[in-house]
Formats: sequence, structure tokens, C-alpha cells
Amino acid sequence: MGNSWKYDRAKEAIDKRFEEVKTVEIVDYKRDMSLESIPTNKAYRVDGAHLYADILNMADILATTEKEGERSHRRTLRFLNLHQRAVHRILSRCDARRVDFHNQRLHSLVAKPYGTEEEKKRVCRAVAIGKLIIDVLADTGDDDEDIPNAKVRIGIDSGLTLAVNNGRNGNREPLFLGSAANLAAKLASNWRAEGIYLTNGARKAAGIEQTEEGKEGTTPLTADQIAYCQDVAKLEVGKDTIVKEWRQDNKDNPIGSFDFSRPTPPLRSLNISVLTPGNSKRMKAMSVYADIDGFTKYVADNIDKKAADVVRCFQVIRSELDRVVSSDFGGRRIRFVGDCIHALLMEGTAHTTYDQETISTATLCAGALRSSFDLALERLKANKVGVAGLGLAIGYEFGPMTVTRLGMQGDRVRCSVSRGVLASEDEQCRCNGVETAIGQAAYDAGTDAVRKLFGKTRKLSGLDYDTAVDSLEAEGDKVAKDAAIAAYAVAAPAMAKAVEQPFRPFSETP
Amino acid sequence: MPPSPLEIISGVSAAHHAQPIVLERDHAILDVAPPAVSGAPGPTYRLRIDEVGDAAVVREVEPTLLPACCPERHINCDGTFCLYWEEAEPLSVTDAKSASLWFGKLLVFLRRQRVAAARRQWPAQAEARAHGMRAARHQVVAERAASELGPRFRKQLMRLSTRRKSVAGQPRIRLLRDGVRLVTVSERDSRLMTKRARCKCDDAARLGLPACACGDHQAALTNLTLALHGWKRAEEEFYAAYTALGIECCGTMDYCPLRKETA
Repeated sequence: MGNSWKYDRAKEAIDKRFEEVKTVEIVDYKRDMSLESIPTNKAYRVDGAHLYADILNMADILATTEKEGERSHRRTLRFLNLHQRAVHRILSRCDARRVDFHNQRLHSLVAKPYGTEEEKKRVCRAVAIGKLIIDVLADTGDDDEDIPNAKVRIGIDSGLTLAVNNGRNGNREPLFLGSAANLAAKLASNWRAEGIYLTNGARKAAGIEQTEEGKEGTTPLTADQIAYCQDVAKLEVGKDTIVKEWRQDNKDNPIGSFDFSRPTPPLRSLNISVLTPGNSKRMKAMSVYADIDGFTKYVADNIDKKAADVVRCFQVIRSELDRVVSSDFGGRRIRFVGDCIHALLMEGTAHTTYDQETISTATLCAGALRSSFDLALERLKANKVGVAGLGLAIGYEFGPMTVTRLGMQGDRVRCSVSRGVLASEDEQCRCNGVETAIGQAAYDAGTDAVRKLFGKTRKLSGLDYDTAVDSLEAEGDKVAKDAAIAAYAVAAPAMAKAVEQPFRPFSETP
Repeated sequence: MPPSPLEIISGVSAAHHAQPIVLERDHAILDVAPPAVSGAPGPTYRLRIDEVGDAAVVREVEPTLLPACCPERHINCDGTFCLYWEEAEPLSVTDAKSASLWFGKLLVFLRRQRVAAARRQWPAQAEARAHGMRAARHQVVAERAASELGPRFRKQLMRLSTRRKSVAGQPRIRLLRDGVRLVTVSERDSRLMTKRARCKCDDAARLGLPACACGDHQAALTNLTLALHGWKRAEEEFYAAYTALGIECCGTMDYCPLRKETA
């Protein structure tokens, strides 16, 4: 069953997953509850301020060398590691929850003090923490190793979100669904200027003057507004203490050098939980991003009255996307980023990557993700779960990739960063809910069939698995041809034989 | 009396995702559901099969899932599917084996229709026969000549084009690849005018020989140029014949000459 998608197999998996979330419990989050290891069929309504911090100059560091070699990756990972350590220290000293480090992007939650009436304090606290992050990261570079300080942009929103279980197999971190998390992320990552940016909702909650509609992403808080928030928040710790502790920690627990080795395919068997800087992986591979389009609005529309449906929909879809990547195509999920999955795929051996096979296989996988997504919506609808407005945007790119874990010992966070990773996310961002886009490097290195399929725009609508296989097979792509012959060999032997030969239809003169 | 092609086709249909609905002396009707690679359920086509000698021709009973006529999708103006070119690959349905071959072509044809509809262009255009018998005959000559120049050259056949130009009253045909001239042939006496220029075959850079001294490549380049030119003109005539009959574009394909005519 290697590298193929089957309708029946997907349907069975989706139905099984749906059974697990048939009964969903939604609970209001209170002070003595734990957000660790939330059962799959449970969600907490959490009121809190969401803070996203985006390190703006990471892509520059990746791009400093002409060739994306080991040195470039080593430098980028060290840069992230140093700064993530500092942020980790800030969050734990300020009693904020780290939700995830997704490469250059940090998501954290300020849930304390609890209670709707304490929103002002939470937002002010988030602003004060954001300011502390900016100040500390402006001082946590490494001159000896030529690691620059980080330039940071902060996005903050406040409101009700649903905390659900994020991922599987011991990944205990919660994930937050809702517009507060999403808008904060957008404020942090959709613009390039430094500073702290709040939605008007969060400004209002903090008692700060609101900006003109649509100008939230371009109007940073003023120094006075930040100072006001710092006065309200009264953080227990300041920049100097954090930097001092960070330096001491780096002396006591040196990061060590980043050493790379190749993983052996299939990547599915790559055990990320044992990776460390000294045991990092590096290889040419495909980075795939698949994002559920329209999910933020879906959550906003349903969080009050149909929160259980939100959880069902979310868990069924992303579990199926994960299954397609790993089970059907031997790939490795790196992480779920909210309603998005990031995964790596590679075809080859322990010594080398087969470039064209990887790109063709990833194209079939992209088709399979859409087929499974469509089928999941169909099955959810059949089970009376509303799915209106949802789509899947898929982007992928080929190139040198890294996989490692960064951060403090005992609390390391997985990281896969490279130019290709950033490019695949960019490709996904230029797609709507029915589109799939392939990156320039993958397009250039792919087979003629792949190039013909995508055309010069490198973007296609409605590319499902059968369309991907049939299109690539017709143009002579070996991976697709093998997949078609294997599928038809049993179901339609005459067709398998016909596919092996050139198919030459004619047109008669009228 | 041996069974007729219709009886043979109906007899083996169950093994090929088809179900006989009607079997008359002169025609049969089958429901055909070509399987998807993924096993996902797909459309069922109701098809009418007619006998033409030992061969079988097939069309939709009513043009429901496919256009009534679309040369780009290899559906003739009478609605029959042009699965193959009889002259180059005759296919008589005389036993279960040949019926299986016929079904293989039919099922692949129907799967390709799905891709054509989704992508609005026929997949594997380079593999399909040219439109009309005259064009297809030119295509055979062009493909053979291109193969003689090497596999790489053959692969680039679809990137070749020709341009006719008169110089001092002498008609000449230029062979172009991606718009760049490769050779020139005198149309009047079918003569390669650039025979002393370096050959254009796959081994040209290694051998460094002029076309006239590089095996039979002078003839190959000449034949290729003339055949490509003839192919182009024959296809223009093919579409002109459609237009003359008042047949309009079905609008399902992006690059259809009929579409241009009607635009």
C-alpha cells in the first residue's frame, strides 16, 4: 500500500475517527484545571490574551549564504535556539503558557488572572511580556558565533477560544481554536515592522485608544501605551534579570554544536522525540503545508452554540490529513500549527534523495490530502455536522530540510526550518480553499509531467488524488504510472495493460 | 457461426466494469463504470456499441456525461469515440483477448475524459494522434524522422513548428524549435538548403558533422520539416471542414481551434 490513497481505506479511517468524537464534552476552563493531555473528545472554553511573537530576521539569516548548506542551517538553528531559550525563561518567570514555538513564531497564552472581569489585566500583562521579549531578544545574540540579535514583532488579541488536544502520541500541549488566536497570529506575521500590535478588541479591553478600522496591523503601541500596560501588569521580573539568568544558563548548559545526519526513509519512522542539536537530521526533502481554509470563521460562527461540532470537525479532518501523510505516503508530520499541518516527505535511500520521485510522490500526496479532506467533509455532513465554508489550501516546496529539537533540556520543541519550509508556507498562503501550489524549486526539479500539470502559475484548482495520478500517468510520470498499474492490476487488468502502452486516440475527418 | 463482436464484448463485459443492458443483432447497450485509481465511486456511462465489420464503434447513447462532439476530446461529429487509428493499429474484436484489448482502450479513454474535463485540455497531447487521416499520416512520418535524429530530439517533437516563407519567389519551409530556426527546406524540390550546417541530431555536438555527412540525417531533417508542415496544413483543413459543417465548439477545452473560429 506504499504511496497510494484508497477511497475505502480513507472512509474507514474517517468513520472510525468520527466515532471517537461522537460524544464531545465542552467545559469552561477554571483555575484548578489542567490543559495538559486534554482527551480528544473534550475541549475547554478558555478566556485569555493570546500573544504571538514573530522573529522577523530569521529568513535573512537563512538567506545569508548563496548555497543553503550546513553552515546556513547551523547558524539559523543556533539563532533560534538562543532566542527560544530566552523566551522560554521569560514565559516561565511571568507565568504565561507557551503554546508552541513554530520556528520563528511563538504562540503563548496569558490566562491569569482568571475571570472575564480580569481581561484588562491579562491584556496588559501580555503587552508587558511582549515588551520584555522584544527587549531581551535585542540582547541575546552571540557575537562569538556571529548570531545577530532578534528583531521581533508582537501581535495580541483577547477573547474566548477552545482549547483542544493538539496532536497525538504524547504531545501534551493544548491547541487553541478561535479568532483571538488567529488574529494575534495575523497581526504578528502579516507585516514586517517591529513593535507591539493589538486588535481593537484587545485595545478596548486594556483601556487603550482604538485605531482606525483596518489599521491595527500598522499602528504599533506607543511608548506611553506600553508603559501604561507595564504599570498595570507589574511583572515580577525585568530584562536584566532574564538576560543574566539566560547567560548563566548557557554557561551551565551549553547548547553544543549542531551535528547533522541523514534520516533513512520512510520519514514516517523518524523518531523526532530523541533528536537534539547534536543529533539533528538534514536531507533534501519536500515540505508540505495544508491549511484548513475558513476555519477561523467556522469557529467564530459555531463556538457558542455548536462548539462540539467544531471539535468533531477539527479532530476528524486533521487526524485524517496526518494519516494520509504518514500511513499512505510514508511522510512525517512535523507539527499541527492551529488548523494547519506541516509535514515532510522523502523518497530515496539512507544515502540519497531521489529528487523527481520525491516531487512526483508529493504531488500525489497533495492530491490525496484534498481527496481525504473532501471525503471527511462528506462524512461529517452525513453525520449532521455542519461544514459550510471550509476548504483546504495546500503548498509544497522541495529543497534541503532540517529536523531537530530546540530549547531547554527536558522541554525541547521540535523544529524544522529551511528556505524550503518557509517557501512551502508561502505557497500555501497564496492558495484559496480549493487550490494547490508547488514551489519554484520543486517545479524546476520535477518531471515534465509535473510541470505540465501545474503550468507556469504553479497553482491548480481541485487537484484530487485521482486527477493527480491520471494526469501525471498520462504524461508519462513513472511514479504515477506505477501507482496506476498497481491499482488497476487487480481491479481492471485490461486497463493496467492499456496504461502500460502509449494511448493514441484519433479524430476522424467529418 | 462464430460469435459477433457485439456478443464477444457483451460476454466479457462483466470483467471490465461493464454491464450489458441491451444486446440486439446490430447493436448493444452497456453501462460502463471505469474504475478510479483510488477506488472512489465515479460516473457510469451508458454506451451504445455498433459493429463495423469485425470492429466495434462506441458512443454515449445520449451525450450526457461527454460532449456530443469534440475533436479535441477525440469524440467524432457523430458522437463515436475515436479510441485508436484503424490504419496504424487495427483492432478486430474476434475473441475474448481482443475484446479485452478493446475494453482496455475504452476504459482508459473514459478516465482521460475525466482529466480533460477537469484540466480543460487533453492529457498527453504528444501521444495522441493528429486530427484527421491526412494529418495522422504526416505525423507518422514526422515521428519516424524525429526518432532517427535521436530519442532526445524525438521527445521535443511537440516543441517544433514550421514557417513557410518565399525568398526570391522560391517557397521555403523553416523548421523551428521554440521559435528558433533549425534548418530550411526548399519546398519545390524537397531539398535541405542548410545541409552543410552542423546536424541537429542528439549526437551533433559530439560528432561535429554537417547534416549531409551525418548518417541519413539529411533525409530525416528534410522529411521531418515537410511532414510537420503537411501535418499543420492538414489539421487546418480538418478544422475548416468542421467549421464548414457549422459544428460549434463544445466549450469544454481551453485550446480548441473551433473555439477560436467561433470567438
